[in-house]
Amino acid sequence: MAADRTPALRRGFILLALHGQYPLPLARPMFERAVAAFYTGDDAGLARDIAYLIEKKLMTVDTERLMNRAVETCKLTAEGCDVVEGATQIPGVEIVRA
Amino acid sequence: MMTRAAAWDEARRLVVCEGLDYAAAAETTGLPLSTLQKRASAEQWKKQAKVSADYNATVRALKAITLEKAIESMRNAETPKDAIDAAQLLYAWKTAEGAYPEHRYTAAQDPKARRAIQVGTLEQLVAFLEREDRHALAALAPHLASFASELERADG
Repeated sequence: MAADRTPALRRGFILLALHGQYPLPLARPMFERAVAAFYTGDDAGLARDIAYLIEKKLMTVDTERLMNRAVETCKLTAEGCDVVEGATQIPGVEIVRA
Repeated sequence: MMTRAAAWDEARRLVVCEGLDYAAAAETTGLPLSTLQKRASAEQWKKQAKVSADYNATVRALKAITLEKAIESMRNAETPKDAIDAAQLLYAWKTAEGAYPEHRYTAAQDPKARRAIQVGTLEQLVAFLEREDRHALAALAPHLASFASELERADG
């Protein structure tokens, strides 16, 4: 039985979504809106994939202060950028190359 | 007439998202080719175009797998719970399809699929003009047949 590629592809998709902003962060609500379509009915899946990518040091989630409000932001790391651009490969992250 | 800033934004969009080469982007936007080449190189537009293409390819793969799972689960559904799970998977695919419509993410390899989309769009335009502006439709009508022929010729 073929392995389910969905988790690895979704993680790759998260990195791709963040790459457009690199090196700047993306506000968490905007980030979640950008990736939500592939996590319909699977909020836990998104939390798991974010935790995985943070542990692998491919992305970070920080809290910044903006106009006296705490804003959660998501950012691609340099290692994450290398994965997106094809310089390195991580087994649990898949990006389909055109 | 585009402002300079708008021309640069459009040139970047044409190269990064549409895959045009620098010469075509320069001609379309009226920007000097050598200046465009320098800025595109400094800002790595070609690299961004590659990532953009990979993004589209990954979206297509995710949508295809989501649809396969929905179909498989519907095929194998035996209990009411299975049916509910299958319906949820189908809903997930529908959400993904709504967020990333096929006509935006299909690499134009299938002429039949592309033609179906073109014909559908044309039919929608005709229906819209029939409701909203029959004069415009009357002006367009003589050209529809030759336009349709041109689409067929372009597909080969």
